[in-house]
Amino acid sequence: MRFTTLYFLFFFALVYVVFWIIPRRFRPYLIFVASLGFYAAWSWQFAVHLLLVLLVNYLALIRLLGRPRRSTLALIVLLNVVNLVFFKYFYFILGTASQAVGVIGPERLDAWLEHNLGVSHIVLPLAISFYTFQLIALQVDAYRGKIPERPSIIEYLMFSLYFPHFVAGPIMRHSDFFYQLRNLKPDETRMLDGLLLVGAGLVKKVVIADNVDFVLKPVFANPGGYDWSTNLMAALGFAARIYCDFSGYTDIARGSSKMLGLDIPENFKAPFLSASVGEFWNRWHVTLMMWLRDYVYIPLGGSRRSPARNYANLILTMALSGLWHGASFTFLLWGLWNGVFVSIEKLLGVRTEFEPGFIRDGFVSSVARLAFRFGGMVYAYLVFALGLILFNSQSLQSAMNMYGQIFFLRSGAEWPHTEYVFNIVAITLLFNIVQSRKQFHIPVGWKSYPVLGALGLVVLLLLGSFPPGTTDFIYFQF
Amino acid sequence: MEFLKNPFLVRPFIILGIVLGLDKLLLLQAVREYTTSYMHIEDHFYDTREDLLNHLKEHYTARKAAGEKLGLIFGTSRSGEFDSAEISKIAPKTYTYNFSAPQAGHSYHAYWLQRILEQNIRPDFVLLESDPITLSPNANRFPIKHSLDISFLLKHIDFDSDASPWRNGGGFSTEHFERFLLSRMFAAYRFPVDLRAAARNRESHIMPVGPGIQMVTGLEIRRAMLAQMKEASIRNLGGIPNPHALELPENLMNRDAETMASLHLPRPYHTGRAQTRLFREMLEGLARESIPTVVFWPPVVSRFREIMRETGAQDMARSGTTEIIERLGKDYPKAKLRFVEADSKGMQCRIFFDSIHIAGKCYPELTKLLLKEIQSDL
Repeated sequence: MRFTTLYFLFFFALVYVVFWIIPRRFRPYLIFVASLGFYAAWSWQFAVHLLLVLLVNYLALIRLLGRPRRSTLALIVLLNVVNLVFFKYFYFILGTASQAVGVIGPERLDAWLEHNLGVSHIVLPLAISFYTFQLIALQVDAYRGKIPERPSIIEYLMFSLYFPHFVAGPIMRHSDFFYQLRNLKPDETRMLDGLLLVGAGLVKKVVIADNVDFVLKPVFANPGGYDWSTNLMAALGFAARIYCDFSGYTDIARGSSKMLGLDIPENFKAPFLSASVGEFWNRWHVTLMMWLRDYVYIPLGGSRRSPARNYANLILTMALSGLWHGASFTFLLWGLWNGVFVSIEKLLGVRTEFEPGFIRDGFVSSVARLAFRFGGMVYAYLVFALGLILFNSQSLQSAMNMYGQIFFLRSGAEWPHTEYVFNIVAITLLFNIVQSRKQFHIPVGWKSYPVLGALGLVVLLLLGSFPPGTTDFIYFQF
Repeated sequence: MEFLKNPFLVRPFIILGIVLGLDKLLLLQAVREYTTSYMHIEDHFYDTREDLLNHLKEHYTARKAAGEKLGLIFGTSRSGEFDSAEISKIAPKTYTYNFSAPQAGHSYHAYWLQRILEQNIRPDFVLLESDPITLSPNANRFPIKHSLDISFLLKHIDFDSDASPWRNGGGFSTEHFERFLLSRMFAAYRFPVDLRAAARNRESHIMPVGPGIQMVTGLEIRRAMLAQMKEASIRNLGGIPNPHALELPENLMNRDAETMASLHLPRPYHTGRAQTRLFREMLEGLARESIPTVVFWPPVVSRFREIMRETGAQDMARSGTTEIIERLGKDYPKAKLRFVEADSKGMQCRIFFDSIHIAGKCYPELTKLLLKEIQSDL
């Protein structure tokens, strides 16, 4: 059930009404049932699988909270990783092994599955990457003694399954959530903020992301057919698209959660205003990057070891982030691409704000500072957009084809959408500027009616003119 | 009960109510004249079909008693020019209602045929336009937005996505159902607001009026076309015949063919599951009732035909159609189904308004060609 469908509107309206009608103590149960139904609407078989995964994890959690043993932690982390690897990386591993040493290839495995089990292939369960990382974090934190109180099973299930964030994050920590569950009460400001976020998310996803997708798709499908400038614009456009898609999803998730009285963390902090790649990755998909920092980068030694080890840790962490997104060499290379840029910046001493020392020392005016910042923003956007060619290409060959078109200034078919894509990039930057400002609040009380009415009408007219398409959120596949 | 203690919790519903109320203003014709472009009047065709059905109901009994035979035409804008008067010249003592509408696929055709049959009206012959365009999933867009009803959709839901729509599967998906609900709930979805329309509709354009030309505003063109459409429902029984021989220049025709293909033919080509199922069911009903029926592929320019061939659309639609007709011929020995590809019949008149629309002037020849197939049954 996509957030942009009418079905979700009906579903959410029902949950919202029942949630605020029933006594407080029953609300977590309602959320649990609704969340399970939300997931089962995609696949009831995987809903059962998910419940089993959650129950096994709960048993381990209770054990870790009682007696934090390394072996218990290792076992439950291993189980979660095996679950993820089986569903997400099995074909990737098998395909690679098949090419390397000639074992049974994925096609033969599918034929075997079809013949013996009646299923054509191993299906990737929705949200498996998100819930696996969230569960691992919970277990590690329990082992580290960071969870002060043992959550009840219903609190745990609500935390794990909570439908606004379950499918595509944000990846939550216990510290983000558990404390709110015991104080579930309505708050007018929060609810109005929620409405605003839902509206903003719908515009980002439906009006921008879904519509630009139709323009970009043909170029990514056949980069060799278009000239270099078209390929470059398509890459720049896809950066805007993925931001609007994912940030739009997060806005709807946060907004609907706020309407139920619960805050979930923001995933984006105006990433396109970053002046370096390092800064960009501190502002993009924040909850994933924090997870990788706390549970991969720091345990690997972080920046406490030698510089060479530090760079290796950075590159390895970013490579893992690439693989988390998808099981293919293109995603792995995408992660490496980002890791290499972050490491080079670190090596060159580029600070977060990308300002050379002489500016800080007051040699040049604030205009120069602004120019450097702007230059840094262009650089960070370009690096991100060019990296996304790996992320969004069907194959490595297709990605190389696109790079070839761009870097060798090759000719090809004309594209009538350059201006449109340019406008989309500009609008996306505007969204980032809005995101960087202090949050805008709708006035409470009767004053909220004209503001919300006007905003609601604008959103409806935009959605009418750019109707919801059938594209899924990009991050649903992870 | 938090709603009583915190009345602000009701606010999202009040806001939604206010927005929905304002949204309904877009349904008013006076508002639509300023929010939709004068060039986009396709939806009005769909509105007039209700009048057409009422007209048919009113006259059917009397005309039947007078020994006249009823013909029905179902198609897209490419069948809009078929004329009842022209048909009666070839098949005397007939009168033909034209239920064609722009971009109307078989879901729309099946819907109107069902509604006509529900009135105990039995057609004596049917002309049914069908080709890769009407069978494509894209041909569902307009009918879902502007026609059909909820019971029709529910009756034809696609429960088994593995079953072949050419044989026993197919139907409307949950996405179709959602689009239907969206268009019924939100006028902004059904009639999207074009912010430039208000200005454009007031601009003047050169138009041929009578023997000369005249400057008329977009709004005047729109009103004139709507009046013509309404009149056609009564006078021409739904058809809008015209003698025009306007032709798109050769150099633009190929480009138009590419544009039309990108609009109407999904790539890789596949037929819509709802369109295919309803096409099959329509033919089955017509075969069972032994109603003489011509399923015809309208003429298109050679470049468009080439694209249909290259994309596999031609083979897929042709083999599916032929197979159904042959199967129904065996299941119902009294079936009178004919399949005609107009382009393979050597039409002399080859003037095209655009790559998929043959000019009004060619319709008499096309009409003759199609009716020849069932003349002995009439």
